[in-house]
Amino acid sequence: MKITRTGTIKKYKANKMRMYLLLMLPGILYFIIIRYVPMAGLIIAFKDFSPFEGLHGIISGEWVGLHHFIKFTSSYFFWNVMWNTLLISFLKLLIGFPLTVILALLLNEIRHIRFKKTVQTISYMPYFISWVVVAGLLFELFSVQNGIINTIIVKLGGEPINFMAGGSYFRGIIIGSDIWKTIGWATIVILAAITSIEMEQYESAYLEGANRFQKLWYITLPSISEILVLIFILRIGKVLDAGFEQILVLYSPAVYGVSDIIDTYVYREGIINMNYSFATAVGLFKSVIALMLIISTNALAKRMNKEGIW
Amino acid sequence: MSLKKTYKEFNLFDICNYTALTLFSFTFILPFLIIISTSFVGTAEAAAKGGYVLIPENIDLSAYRILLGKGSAMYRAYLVTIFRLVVGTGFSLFFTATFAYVLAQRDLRCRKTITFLVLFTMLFSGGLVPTFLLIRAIGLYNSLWSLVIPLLIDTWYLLIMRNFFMSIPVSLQEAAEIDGATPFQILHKVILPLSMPVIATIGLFYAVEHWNQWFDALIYLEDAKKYPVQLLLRRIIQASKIDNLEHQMTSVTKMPPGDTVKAATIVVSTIPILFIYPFVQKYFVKGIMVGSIKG
Amino acid sequence: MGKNFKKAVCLLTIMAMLLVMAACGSPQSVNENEDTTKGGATQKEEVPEIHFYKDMMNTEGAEAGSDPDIVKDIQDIIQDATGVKVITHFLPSGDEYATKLNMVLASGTQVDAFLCDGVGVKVSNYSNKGVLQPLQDLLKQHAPIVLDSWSKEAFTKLTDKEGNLWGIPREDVQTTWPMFIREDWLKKCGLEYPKTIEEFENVLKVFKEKDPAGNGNTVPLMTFSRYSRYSLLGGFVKYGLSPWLDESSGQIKNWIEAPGVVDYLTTMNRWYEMGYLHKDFASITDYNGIATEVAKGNCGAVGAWYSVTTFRLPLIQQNIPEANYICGPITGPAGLIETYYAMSGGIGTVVTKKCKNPEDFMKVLSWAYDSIENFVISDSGIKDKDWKWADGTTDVVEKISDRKYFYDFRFAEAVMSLEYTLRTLDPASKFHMDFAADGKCADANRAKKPFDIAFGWDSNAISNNVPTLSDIDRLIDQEVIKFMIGERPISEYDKFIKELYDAGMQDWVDEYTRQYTEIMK
Repeated sequence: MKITRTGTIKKYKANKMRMYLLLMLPGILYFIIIRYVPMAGLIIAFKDFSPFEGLHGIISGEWVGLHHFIKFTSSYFFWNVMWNTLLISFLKLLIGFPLTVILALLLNEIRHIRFKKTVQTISYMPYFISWVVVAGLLFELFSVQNGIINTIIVKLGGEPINFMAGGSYFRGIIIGSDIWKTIGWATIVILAAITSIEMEQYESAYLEGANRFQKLWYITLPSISEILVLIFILRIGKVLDAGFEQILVLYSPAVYGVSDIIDTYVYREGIINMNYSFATAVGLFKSVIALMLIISTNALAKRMNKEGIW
Repeated sequence: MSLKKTYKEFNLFDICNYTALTLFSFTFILPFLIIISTSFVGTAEAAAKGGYVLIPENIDLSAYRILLGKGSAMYRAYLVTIFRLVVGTGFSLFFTATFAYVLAQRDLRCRKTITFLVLFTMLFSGGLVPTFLLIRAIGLYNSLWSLVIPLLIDTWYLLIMRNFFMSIPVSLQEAAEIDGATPFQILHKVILPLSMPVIATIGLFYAVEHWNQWFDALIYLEDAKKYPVQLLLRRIIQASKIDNLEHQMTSVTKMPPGDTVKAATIVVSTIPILFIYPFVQKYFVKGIMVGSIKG
Repeated sequence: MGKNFKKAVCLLTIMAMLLVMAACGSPQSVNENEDTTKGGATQKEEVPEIHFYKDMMNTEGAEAGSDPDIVKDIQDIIQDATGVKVITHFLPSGDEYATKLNMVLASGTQVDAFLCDGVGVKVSNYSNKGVLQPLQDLLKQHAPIVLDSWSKEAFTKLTDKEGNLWGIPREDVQTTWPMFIREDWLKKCGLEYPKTIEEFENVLKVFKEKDPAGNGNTVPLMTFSRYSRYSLLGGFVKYGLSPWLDESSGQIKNWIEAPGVVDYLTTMNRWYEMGYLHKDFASITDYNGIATEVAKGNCGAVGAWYSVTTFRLPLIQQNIPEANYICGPITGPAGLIETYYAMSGGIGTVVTKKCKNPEDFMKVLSWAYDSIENFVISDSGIKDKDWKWADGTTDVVEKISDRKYFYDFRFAEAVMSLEYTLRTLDPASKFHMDFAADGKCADANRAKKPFDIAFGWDSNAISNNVPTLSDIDRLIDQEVIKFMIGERPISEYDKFIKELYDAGMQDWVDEYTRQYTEIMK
């Protein structure tokens, strides 16, 4: 099968490109048909659309221009909702992301394979418990009436704290429970990255007398930095999704002020009059902001000599 | 083997590390234990204790009888779930890997444009109704394939896989090219063997996604007999947040499911998928020996 | 590695094929029965069919659906009586009901009639979009019995200003927010059921002091902010929870501005501070949250939708046999504390434009409304096979089979003359059924009527003309609870009203006033 040196390299290259195209083709078709074609439906953000009218409704719906965008941005709670979304999201990212990396590194330092496997499996279990049930458990844990935490606080001579209905405590609960629920799951991909590091690097470092922290600092972290940057950039793109399902089951009127986010706001609006156009408009608004954030983070990453996404 | 020796040292760091991780594990697993034991509690005891119970006084199987008893639709729903899990994960993994491999090629023309266009779909999507109309138009409505095709390639997983493929030394691929290997052969013989951790990871992600998905089944399937487990069970779990408006209360003329049934639901719908991870971990244990392949 | 890979691919393919066959095969084999019956029906030449869509109830096990044979039995009974074959399609309930129903409608599937649950699927969302048929003439001609079975108010709520009736009611104006108090505890403490709000407060005080539940677990009053508007507000505010006419300005105003609201907020705040209310008063905000607490058996008084208590009492009695709840009229400075529950007009059964023979559906409705026996068939199955009248009665249903049935054909729900006269032997729902059968769901002695009981607001116009409607709702919910738990001093009430106007309350007032003037013409 070897090509002789005299064989034309050009021909090989053309062949290779054709092969690439063939390998990509299903993927490209998928993205065009399933992902891009429906985007035409985004025009309902500028129309008054009734969901049950189907295609007819999309085409013939009445144009309302920027009405839905203006309705959203001129809402009495617009800035409150934006602030909550960004704050909750960034806190989740800025606290959760480093913790995930640390947990992954700690797990990697475990040498008893069975212990390591067990801890890993256990750590990703909470990911599978739905938010409604987590909410039920949290209410029992933090209840003022008979919650364990408050019982302990009172026994230690403190005043009971209304965690679930008391402003900043509640934000802490949102962020803490989110990190608790997703951290194990998020370590998986980092662990996969660590596993892909060539053993030889560690061996030579060992021979040069490097200790564990030096190995971690000079080999492990640089080796997974690309994937960390990738994950970070992609998470930045999701920064306006602050956890709809979680907040919907956890919040209550007393803490709307600190926890109402864009998605819960749209949800309540939708309940009143089934407004798909409004929801689409807000979705588009979020997407545009996410796009700008991703483009700038990507540029920043490139400036810091990382590869970036594109 | 010089490495063996370091394994025997057990210093302060290790002690802290092991203790911390044990404590973490405890907080991670405790809720699960509570859920499992709550699922075995009878209604009277659950009523008196209110919600979740760590140690039941009497074991009561009525929650499971409701879920799995005679005439239960659960068994058929499991078949559907397993179908989408196996077929869906297989297809997704294959097409994601081939696409990611091409996107990882530095000599591909328009690589950055394609990557950006792919990333774009992560931020912008057509939304519920247009996507539904498309699925209908291409003939997938009420077909089990509607659970597989729309999830074929996940942008996020595609980019992660591409990133991993890019981190494999180019020299390996060039060496194979000089040997006259076609791109497909290179993917198959060089890239995939070196990328088992990421293949396993992404495979796990796809499998879990297929396991947990219920919304696509809700809108794309008309025939309730084709519903997967998660959709069937979702109502039970979700029933607690039902009254956002006052008049919804009138619909509560019958008892909503109790916490014990909810707990049993979680057990039935979660335990099986938890057992996938240990299989995946097999690929995580040993570091890659690029050298051995090079040689 | 290569060989393994190939092996894996082959294995995967084989497994996939097998599973495709298994997964697709088994549903089809079940379908066959239905197909043959369908085929048989069409051969007999055109039995008219009605495709009816409704949501699954949040009932344990409903996800699996009813037993096919009981569905077939009832379907046959209806077909024999009316010549119409009704096919009920269940969709998931809650938020997902709207999503799924809209997709079914968008896909062009034949939907003849569907149930509006008032959650996401509201009559008003469909009535002005040209999806529905007006029903006033149809009912008059083909099913007058339906018109006779509901109060005039129930129809007004579903009628637009042109006089078109868009839905068949599923709930009537009713008194379903009683103040239940533990009878055994009253006795234990030597108290009577209170008649005034002062006596009621005294009962709460005694419950708090004597702690009949023990261990300091007693919750003298269990309710939460939104529920208390139905079960308590009336005592302080003339019209209770209702838009009302401000005589001085001639405008219709929101309940939050009514005279007496400050009194209500102050009282709630005092009760919270005194420990009469549950300590998690602010974070319990839904049906299940309050039901869980009530079931524990520690609650002295419960002010909530009646089924919270009626369904929980049998559970409590399993642990505390002597427990019992009673309710009655309590009067505050502005009258009875409970307000009549007059729904918004979102709930009902509607008929689509696509339905070719709406008369057929009317026939089915007439059958369902015709007699108590027909109702019980639609509710429980075949007489003397699935249920019978308990010995010597004609209103106590005794279940005698365990065929699973989730109300596929129950078209006459919550009709006072039918469902609300029935009793049962089933201990789990006996108290609940008896409450309605004793006439307590329509007890004029216990509750006051809201200002808007006799007219229907046009909710489409409201949501169009009050762009910040959800902002106003959020602001009220959010600040009211703060006043109650003392996070905001009641002296800031006027400032709060000003905030409401900043958030667009004037649009709200203008729109309601406009509609009111139109109605009065």
